[in-house]
Amino acid sequence: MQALCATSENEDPCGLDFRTRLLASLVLSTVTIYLSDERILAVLAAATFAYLAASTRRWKVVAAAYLMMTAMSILSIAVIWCSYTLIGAILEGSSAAGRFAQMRESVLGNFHTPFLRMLPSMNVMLALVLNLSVQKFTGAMKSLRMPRVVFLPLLVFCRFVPEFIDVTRQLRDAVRMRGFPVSFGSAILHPFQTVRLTVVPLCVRTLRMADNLAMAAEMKRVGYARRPTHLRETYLRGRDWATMAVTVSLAAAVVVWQSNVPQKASMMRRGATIEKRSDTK
Amino acid sequence: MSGEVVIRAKGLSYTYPFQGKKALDGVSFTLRRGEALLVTGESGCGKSTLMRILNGLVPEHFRGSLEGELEIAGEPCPAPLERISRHVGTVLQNPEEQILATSVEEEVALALEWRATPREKMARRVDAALCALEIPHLARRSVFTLSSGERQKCVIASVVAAESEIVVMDEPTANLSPGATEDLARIVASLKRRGAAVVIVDHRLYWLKGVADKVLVLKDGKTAAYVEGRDALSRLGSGKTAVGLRRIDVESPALRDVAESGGPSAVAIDSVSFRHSRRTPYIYRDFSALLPRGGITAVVGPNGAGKTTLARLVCGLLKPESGEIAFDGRPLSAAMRRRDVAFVMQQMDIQLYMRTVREELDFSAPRGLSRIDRRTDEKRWLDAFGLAHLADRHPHSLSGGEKQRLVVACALMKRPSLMVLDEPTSGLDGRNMRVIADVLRDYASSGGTVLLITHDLELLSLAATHRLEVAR
Repeated sequence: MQALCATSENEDPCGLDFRTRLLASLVLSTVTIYLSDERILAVLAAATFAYLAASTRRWKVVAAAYLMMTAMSILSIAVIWCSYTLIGAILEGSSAAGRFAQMRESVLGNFHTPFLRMLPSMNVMLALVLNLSVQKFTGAMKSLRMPRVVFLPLLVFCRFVPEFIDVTRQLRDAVRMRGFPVSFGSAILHPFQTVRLTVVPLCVRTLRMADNLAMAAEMKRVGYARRPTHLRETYLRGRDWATMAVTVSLAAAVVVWQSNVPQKASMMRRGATIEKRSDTK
Repeated sequence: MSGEVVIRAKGLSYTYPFQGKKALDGVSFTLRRGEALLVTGESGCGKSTLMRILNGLVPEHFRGSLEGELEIAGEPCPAPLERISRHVGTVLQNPEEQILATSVEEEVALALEWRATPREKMARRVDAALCALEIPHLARRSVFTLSSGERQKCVIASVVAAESEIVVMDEPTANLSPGATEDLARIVASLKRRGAAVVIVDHRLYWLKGVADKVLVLKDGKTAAYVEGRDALSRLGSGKTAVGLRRIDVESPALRDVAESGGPSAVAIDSVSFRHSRRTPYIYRDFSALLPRGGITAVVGPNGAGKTTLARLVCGLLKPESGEIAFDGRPLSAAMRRRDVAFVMQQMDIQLYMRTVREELDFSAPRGLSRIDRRTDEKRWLDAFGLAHLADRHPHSLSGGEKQRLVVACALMKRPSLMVLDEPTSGLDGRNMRVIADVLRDYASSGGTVLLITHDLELLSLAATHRLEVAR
């Protein structure tokens, strides 16, 4: 959401059009659903990371996203592993207990597969979001000739998000000036007061703002023209076409590669790992 | 084409949904091309309702019942907003709620883009409008980095660029500096010369002398006065209808510079430097000033000079990069300043939280104040601001003027050593503005210190004692 506050001062290092980035995100994220081989996923993750590296200089945000995803993956693996262990302990002695023990081992054995599957999607989405601004987004929507019923609410929403963040900051300041600390601790200690001091004025302000923005849009005839003109026309340049071509070729290549990987071999390799672990035990 | 009637209203009445009382009752007037109509009156008299009718928001958005005859640019009303918006361009009071694009240039061009204006023509009009408002340097700036006054200029530029037949402006000077207000008067005059009909809803009257051809004064939704002619405002004069209105003759007051003040100072700003981030330029660099005790210091300067930033630094909402701010000779941390200072912000909705006006005042009192003292203070400020009869009302159900008085009352309930007010009278009628000026004078005479950010020349002449000039 914060990314929507990005302004024209936040220039895209690659100078790619929003539509190009949107296409790359959609195509490569969709492709990862079909992929299951770790080597192919790793290649795709590396390729999309190169694309991300060329698209941003905001390395702190990238590092934070990676850290967060790693933490979430470890946490989810830990929760699943503990659940299987607990169920196994409850069912100890029965035939199902062994199956749960095997499943618990497979969780650890295949830890990297879902992680690898998420990486390409995260890379392309980060490249999109970190270069996104309301201006680029609305410009793209206009050029895509969306119908008024779709365009108008989207425009108001896009304009509303940064304003909402601004109002939240102002509200925090107003509450602090009244002598009420705005922190996680005070929210825990005084939940009702926190709700009263934040939710009520925020609701009143945002509802009024959204209403007025929608009215302002209508008064400016936004959405009424069939073919609006543009002060600054956005064209797809050579680099956009090249990026699109690389994206589609990469997607096609990994799909072909995946379809040529024998399913049995892949499954056998995974099964062998599980059996090997059981034997060692 | 000049002289053709573009707005004809006869016996216009309007009632909001679920309301028994008419918000507008039997209002009649005509407006021709090249004329400007000023609509004024006390808060809640129906000015904004009339504006909503003229720009087509009533009844399409607000529903309710509209009676009487109304014709806008030949369209018999009520007509769909889609048709009305072809002829009418609107400037709303609050620019934050009207700007849809993210850069100034795009905002100015937006209405033209949706009128399918050819690009070359659009670029010419956008440039001309930005130059007319003297903001060509802001063309590529993000609207999120603009001050309130700069945003207001951006909205006015978008209406100027659209070249509508009818231009409706609601409190267009609320955020503008005196210099920018003079520019706006010139812009209105040029719109008239171009053949546009201009309707201005405003409390401030002085800037429209010689510009307004007709004046409509409303009171409780009815016409209290309707004066025509170039000298319409002067003829309105100091008669009965002018009671509660702003003054027509306003001069910029000659205030003493804080540097020349010889008395004791309550607040010392010492070599303060500030910028929003390392990548942005300094707003203040080694800035020093002394605020005299018992004085009302007006911070003056052009739009975007950093007046609100200074207020936020003094209040402890922003931390200076270097330098210190001392109260009574004692340097205070940001947290301690927040405790000692009361800050009245421009946005009122975000400063009201409780279920009733009385609870709101009670919540603002300093912790540890006895119940008796709280009750005494509450009664004092309720009476002083004329809010006693509204004590049990929900704060968000009050009118704009009432909310503004309540927010100032809440600030005084805090018993602060310094009061900082950011445009406390924008959108207030003469009566309410004078109430706030009187209270500020009383507070200062009892030893309090006030830092006042305002472009309101009447408030400055009534209340301010010193000036602190900030440059861009």
